[in-house]
Formats: sequence, C-alpha cells, structure tokens
Amino acid sequence: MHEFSIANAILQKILNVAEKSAAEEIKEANISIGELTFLNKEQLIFALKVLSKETKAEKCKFNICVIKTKIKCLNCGYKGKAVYEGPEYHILNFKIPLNCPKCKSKKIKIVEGKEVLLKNLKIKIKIPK
Amino acid sequence: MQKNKILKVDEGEILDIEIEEDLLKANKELASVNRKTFDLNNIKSVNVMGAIGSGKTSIIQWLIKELKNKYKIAVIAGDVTTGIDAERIKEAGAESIQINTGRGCHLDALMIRKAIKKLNLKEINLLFIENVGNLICPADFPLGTHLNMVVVSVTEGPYMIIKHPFIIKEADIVVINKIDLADQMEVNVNKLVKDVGRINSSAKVVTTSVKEGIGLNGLIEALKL
Ligand SMILES: Nc1nc2c(ncn2[C@@H]2O[C@H](COP(=O)(O)OP(=O)(O)OP(=O)(O)O)[C@@H](O)[C@H]2O)c(=O)[nH]1
Ligand SMILES: [Mg+2]
Ligand SMILES: [Zn+2]
Repeated sequence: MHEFSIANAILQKILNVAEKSAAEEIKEANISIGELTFLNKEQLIFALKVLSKETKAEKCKFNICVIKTKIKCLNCGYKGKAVYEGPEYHILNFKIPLNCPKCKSKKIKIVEGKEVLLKNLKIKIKIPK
Repeated sequence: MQKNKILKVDEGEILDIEIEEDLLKANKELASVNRKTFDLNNIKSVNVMGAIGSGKTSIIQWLIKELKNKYKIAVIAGDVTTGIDAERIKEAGAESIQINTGRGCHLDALMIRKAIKKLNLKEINLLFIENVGNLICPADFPLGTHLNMVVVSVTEGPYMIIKHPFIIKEADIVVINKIDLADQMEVNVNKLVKDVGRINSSAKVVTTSVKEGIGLNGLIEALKL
C-alpha cells in the first residue's frame, strides 16, 4: 500500500510538469529512492505502471535507483556512511543505522537515505502549428 | 545551463527536464506550516500513531474523559473507510473530524491542513490526530504536531518495537498498551521498554492498560498535560 501512495505522489508531480511544458508524451522518468524508505523497487514500478494507464505517462519508462544511507552524528560531527548494530536489526532486508561509527553515540541524524526524489524527465513535446 | 539560448525544436523532439524535487520534503514543508497554525492559536497537538487495533482510539477516549474539564479538545481521526472512531470520540465528549483516507495508508500534512480549516481553532487548545493504523508509512509523513506518540500493544508480540525502528525513532512518547494481557501473551513488558531505549533513548515510555485503568497518570505526565 505504501508503494501506491508514493507512486501516486510521484505521478501527480510528473503529470504536473508535463502539463506545464506542453508535453505530448512522457518517455522516461528517473527517480531515486532512499534505502530507508522501505519502498520495494519492483512494487513501486508496478504501482507507477498501473496508475499511469490512460495518462501521458502510459508508455513512460520508470528508472529507479537506490540512495545509500548517510548519517550525521550530533555528538562528534561525523558525517558519512552508517554502521549497523547486531544481527537482530537486519529486518526486512534493511540494515538499520543506530550509532555513530566514530564515537558510538546514538544521537545521530539520517541525512541521506529517506528521500523520494524525482530527478528528471524525458518528454516528447508538441509544437503548435 | 543553456537557459538563455532559444532552443529550436522540431515537432516530436525529446527534451530533458531537470526536476530534482524530493516529494517527502514537500510534505515536511507543509508540516511546518501546520505547526505555525497550531502555535498561533495556542493549540497543543499530538500525532497518535500505532498498529491497527493497538488501542489508539481507546487511549484518546480515556484522555478526553480525564481532561475534558481542563482542556478544550478536538480530534482528527484518519480511518481507511469507516467513521466508527469519530463516533467513539464524540461519545467521549470532544469535537471530532473524520478523514477518510481511502486506500492511503497514512495521513499527510496536506490532509491535516484541510481538516484544520474545518475546526474552530479559537475554540480548542488541545488536538489529537489519530493516524491510520500502520507502523511503517506514517513515519515518513510528519504532520507538524508538537508531539509524536506511538501506541503498540503486547498482543502484537515480543518483536513489535525492534521491527519498526523508524517510527520509534520519530516518537516522543511510546505507549505499550494492553499490559493486562502480557502474561497470557507471554510477552515481557520490561524487554519492550528496553527495546525502545536502545532505539530512541530520549523517548518516554509509558505502560498502560485501558481496560484495567493502569498508567493514565503517567501518560498525562509524559504528555505534559
Ligand atoms: N485487554 C485490553 N484490550 C484493550 C485495551 N485497550 C484497548 N483494548 C481493546 O482493543 C481493541 C482495539 O482498540 P482501539 O482503541 O479501537 O484500537 P485502535 O488502535 O484505535 O484501532 P484502529 O483505529 O482500528 O487501528 C478494542 O476492542 C479495545 O477495547 C487494553 O488495555 N487491554
Ligand atoms: Mg482507532
Ligand atoms: Zn559521533
């Protein structure tokens, strides 16, 4: 269900841009999703395909790439890759960043890995004669 | 890049458009607009999240009955299809607005923006928002509330907390409800409390049983009400 509501938000944005730029057809959309969004890539593409039926994005190729997690430590200022604690946190195939690799503080902020980014579109435009 | 150049395009030419927009960020921005509305009207707001059936509505009813002479309370209830929860809130003695989310699995800041327009904001000073029963999606969609409260119950088993670290990380208060059933379910409540601490050491944890009337004062204290 989560994939459908995210797909809907993405598609609304795409159709909005298409409208503004007088697109005849949307050829390709590049989307990046953070690995911590819990979004399943295949399910998201499926949802986009279902929802885009009978719209200008009907034949669109949806490319999705996954953004790796980056954290910032609020204690020591470390910024970079997250480390993972204990096997019990490997849930749903996600590894959960829980503390700072440098000072081990749990006061961390996730700076990358939670986004749903519509990066760019390839559109076919219509020129009025 | 070449913005000043006049592009000559033939009919049917393919164009590249850069967008670079984070769709979750748009929600966050709207959430901060909601927060401003609450602050301007001196309304304390609480986003009540949690799994289906964990006791969100029961806890809100419980708080309303206890606090209705002290606060002017309203509730926004998100439900997939029915208006049952909204009716229960009215019975407990507070104004309530129902949002039917259809097949959506969480409330978002825009839905709240629309719902608060229907409330008489001058007439209330405490707002509970009951999110859709779900421990995954609501974590990605802040609503702009002052407090995030997550309600889980022992009937969801011993791994409920560690299986949902993201929503626990977003929580200011975690309520572990239905402790009257802990023995029967063979769930160790202290272990659940510890799990919360490992994921989010600043969250307050309250253990409750609405059925047996345990933990209400601790909850009111945690909510600073
Ligand atoms: N034994 C026991 N039952 C409880 C307790 N709190 C709530 N319940 C029962 O649990 C069921 C679900 O409670 P609700 O308050 O409707 O839960 P909810 O989280 O609002 O449910 P949804 O809105 O459907 O997701 C009801 O039958 C309640 O009577 C408790 O502390 N102990
Ligand atoms: Mg409910
Ligand atoms: Zn650190």
